Amino acid sequence: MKNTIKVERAIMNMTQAELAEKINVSRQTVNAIETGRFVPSTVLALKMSRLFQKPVNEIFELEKGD
Amino acid sequence: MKKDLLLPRWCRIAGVILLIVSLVLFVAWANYSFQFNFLNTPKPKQPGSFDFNNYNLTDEFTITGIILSLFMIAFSRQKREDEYVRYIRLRSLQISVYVNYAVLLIIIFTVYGLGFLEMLLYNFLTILIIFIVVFYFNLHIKPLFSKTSKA
Repeated sequence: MKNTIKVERAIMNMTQAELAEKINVSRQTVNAIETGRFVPSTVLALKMSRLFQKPVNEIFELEKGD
Repeated sequence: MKKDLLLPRWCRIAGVILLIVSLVLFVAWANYSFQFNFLNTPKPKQPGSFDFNNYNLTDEFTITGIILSLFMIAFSRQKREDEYVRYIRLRSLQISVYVNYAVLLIIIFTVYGLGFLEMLLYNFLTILIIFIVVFYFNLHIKPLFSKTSKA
């Protein structure tokens, strides 16, 4: 699964730590999601969607093989 | 929120301190036969089949201290106990169980006699030690090597 969290973060001028603080997870979690090492739960994806004010589909995208 | 069956956060620091104390005691006991006199147990009046030649509980308390401290370090709550930490925790536990039994199989085929029992004694610590190493490595050290960790 691909994601555009890094881009969205840059648009809102936010560091990983700030994003982590806003969605109530650890900085390691944001890092792991951004680098594709961890697929977040639906709840976490929806929280990001609410924060970035974009539908989940625009932040996360299926890849070949998913 | 669901209960996560973990110890409070201060247990990690308490565990580290307890581990250091227990390890010092263990080395003193193993190399210099160090014993606390107040931990003596009464000897049976008639020597019988329960004669162990060891009527002091220093070693028992030392080993209990090591196990308890490792347990406290391993299962204390992280600052933010979120879904990723839970995932890493579960994975590390699985890896440690695999490694534990791999080590056990190696011991079965390579160590015999009394040495085997001694190795079994140390083997029950491997599950906790491997878990702590894998868990903290994945949580704190591995992200440093990922490409976009700096942001």
